[in-house]
Amino acid sequence: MSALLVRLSEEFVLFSLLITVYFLAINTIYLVLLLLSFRAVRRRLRAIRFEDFRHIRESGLAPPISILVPAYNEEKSIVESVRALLTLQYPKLEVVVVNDGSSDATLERLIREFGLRRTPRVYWQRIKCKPVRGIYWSPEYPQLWVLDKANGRKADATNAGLNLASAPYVSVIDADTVLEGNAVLAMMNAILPRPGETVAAGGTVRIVNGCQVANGKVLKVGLPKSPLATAQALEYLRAFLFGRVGWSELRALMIVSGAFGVFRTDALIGVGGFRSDTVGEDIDAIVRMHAMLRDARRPYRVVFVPDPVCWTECPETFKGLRSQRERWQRGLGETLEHNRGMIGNPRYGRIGALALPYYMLFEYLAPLVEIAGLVILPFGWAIGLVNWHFFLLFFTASFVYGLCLSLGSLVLEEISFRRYREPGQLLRLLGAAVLETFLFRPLNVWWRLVALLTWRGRPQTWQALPRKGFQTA
Amino acid sequence: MVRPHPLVQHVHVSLLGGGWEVVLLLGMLGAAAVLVILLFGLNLVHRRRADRDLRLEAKVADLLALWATRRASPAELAWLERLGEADRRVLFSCCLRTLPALSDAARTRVRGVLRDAGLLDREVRGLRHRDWARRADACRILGGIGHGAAVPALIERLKDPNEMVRQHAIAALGDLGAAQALGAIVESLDASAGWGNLLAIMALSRMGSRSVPAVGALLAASTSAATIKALLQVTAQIGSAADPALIRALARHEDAEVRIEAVRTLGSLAPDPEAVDVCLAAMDDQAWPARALAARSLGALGDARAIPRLERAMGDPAYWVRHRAGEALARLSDAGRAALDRALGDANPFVRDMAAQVLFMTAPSPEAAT
Repeated sequence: MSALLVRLSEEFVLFSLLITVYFLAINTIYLVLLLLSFRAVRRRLRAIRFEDFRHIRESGLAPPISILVPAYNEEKSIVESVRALLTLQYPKLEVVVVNDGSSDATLERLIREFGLRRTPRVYWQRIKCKPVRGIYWSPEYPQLWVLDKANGRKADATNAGLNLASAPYVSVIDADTVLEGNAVLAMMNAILPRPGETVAAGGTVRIVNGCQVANGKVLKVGLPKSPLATAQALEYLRAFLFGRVGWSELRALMIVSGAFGVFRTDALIGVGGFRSDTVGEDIDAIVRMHAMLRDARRPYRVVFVPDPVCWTECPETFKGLRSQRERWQRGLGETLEHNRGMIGNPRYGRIGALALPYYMLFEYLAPLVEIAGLVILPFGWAIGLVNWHFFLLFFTASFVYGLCLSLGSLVLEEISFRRYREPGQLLRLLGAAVLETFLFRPLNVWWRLVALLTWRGRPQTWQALPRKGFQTA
Repeated sequence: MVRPHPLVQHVHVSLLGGGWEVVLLLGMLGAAAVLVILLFGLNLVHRRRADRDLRLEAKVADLLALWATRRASPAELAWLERLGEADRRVLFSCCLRTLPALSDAARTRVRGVLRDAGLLDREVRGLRHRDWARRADACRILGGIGHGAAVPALIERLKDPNEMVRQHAIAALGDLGAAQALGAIVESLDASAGWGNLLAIMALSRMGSRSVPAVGALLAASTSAATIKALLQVTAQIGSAADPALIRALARHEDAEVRIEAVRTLGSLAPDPEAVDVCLAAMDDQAWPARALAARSLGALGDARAIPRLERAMGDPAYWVRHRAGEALARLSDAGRAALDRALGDANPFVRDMAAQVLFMTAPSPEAAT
């Protein structure tokens, strides 16, 4: 018995050391990303100061862009979203809404609100997708197309929109989002300096819950009342302002959010559009673009532009949040599995050698490590191996470090884009940063762990988040 | 209680023995406290600054309305001279927003006030500032305000080591319609790519007919396909060419990109029977974008001779050629629309579908469309 315990204690020490190394590694990466983000945002702010979109607006040479909006059961917010898209500032813009066999009144609402008529429109089917039932258009809104098709999930719907799109650039956005008026202009302004090389660009996604929205525009930025949604507002701030910016700075950006991204149409079609057999079609498409262009030895770049903002609704219930997080975890798992040949492969540059291993070790497997730590610690305490002093130190250090990272991203937001201007809002975000360690983070880790262990046997579905619709002024 | 393994004891002693953990924790807490203070301190400064800028903007808007009708008083000039760097940025932002809406005379008066206060000279000096952002900003301001005296200094900036400054200098010269900068901008077409190239094209386009001879001369002398393409874009934007025969010749260029741009340009020039012949020939080009743009140009040129060829193009294997051919037929008066009606009965389903789509999209009213 004693020999077994000694053996266990040895294993325990090794495990503790591994956890400590893991903890140090992940936090060092976060710190590096945060510092890189400060540098990148500072540079971007200098450029924004004298940015002049007039040249794009007035030139007649700005490349057209097609906005693709895959929609499934979005009757609550679709009209507002489309109205906002139709008022976007960009000279040559078409909006393609794809109704992916909604079982609610999404299509009927669009037909009624925009006076749509069924058209004999034909298009070039470059990517296979589920059968199209009808294409709608209205002379009153000539830049709006609505494609009605059989249900095939988001990737299939986006591919159908891609077939219909006539522009050399496409922007894919979620139907429950509101783009800021100059978001497309700002995005294209970042793409146009190197139009041949830039194959994809992502913008910032923020939480619309708590904001006042009218006519598809965010009139007043606010924070949600629910603490769960406030924690997500902070999480998005961190993820986009220092996560994506940092990875873009490292030239290893692997995610362009499905909620708001711009792609070169030929590059997206070159990789066969979005995969229908994954729920992480956005991340998967970017990884395959990296692979295709690296294999072809073509110069290219995938960039993140922090100032164009898209506002999206986040789940406010535990059920909705769990469903979303399980999907994200599954999407990441499927992407890693589909592209496993790239992981750690130096042939794929920083994506293969840096980004993919990071996402596997520190994102996909993170719940396993964190939960293992939580299970092992009581065991260690029971057999007298864990000094409460050590446990407290470890816990407090990780808590304060996480707090510092959140504070760092809040400071970054304050010196850059300042969407949350009121001290009360900052105070609430600060409160969320303190509280998330105790509620939001453990739940998130648990849901992701469940998804990690069970996603293989489960069917893929559309993300059925309960929508509240936008808060009007 | 189990006696821990020696390795465990060693780890615990070395981890917890030196009191460093307290220092570490205090350090981290200190960093968090500094970040909190920084966050709220910055927020306070930014809010005060924003309030101040709002008040300043309101004052500047009132003053601009006055300066549009009269000269500035000595007190106003003195106030302008006293403005600090940040306030000058606010002033110029207001000016750049307001000036386009004013009449020429009012703009001249406002410019006069800014010049009298020495602000425009200061911006001209800013073109040589060591900070590239300051130089680029000066370009933007001088171009937007319309300070013609800055043209020589802006031409110098076309050779600036910073790409952003060069781009803003091109844009500013375009804003100023500086004919004397034509040669330098055209030269920059060769040197710049992407956005810089686009800005140069736009700058030349804005100069309108004044740039036609220079663009034509360079088009005749250029051998670089990229430059020829850019110059063709300028020509298309202006809608006038020094030598239309040269454009027609370029529609037979060996480089497909040049051919594509040339047939596109022919459609934006004044209708010309010879251009129609060239576009008809381009309908047999191997590159489908050339065929598609030739079809579009034929629609724009409005010559009924093109109808039979466009009818045939409705069965082209490339979607965009069929699409543009259908649109062109719809533009070619009743004969073109009659051709589309005939296409509705074609044996080829691609032709039928495209004809139906074009007829629907170009119907004079929604009722006619259905």
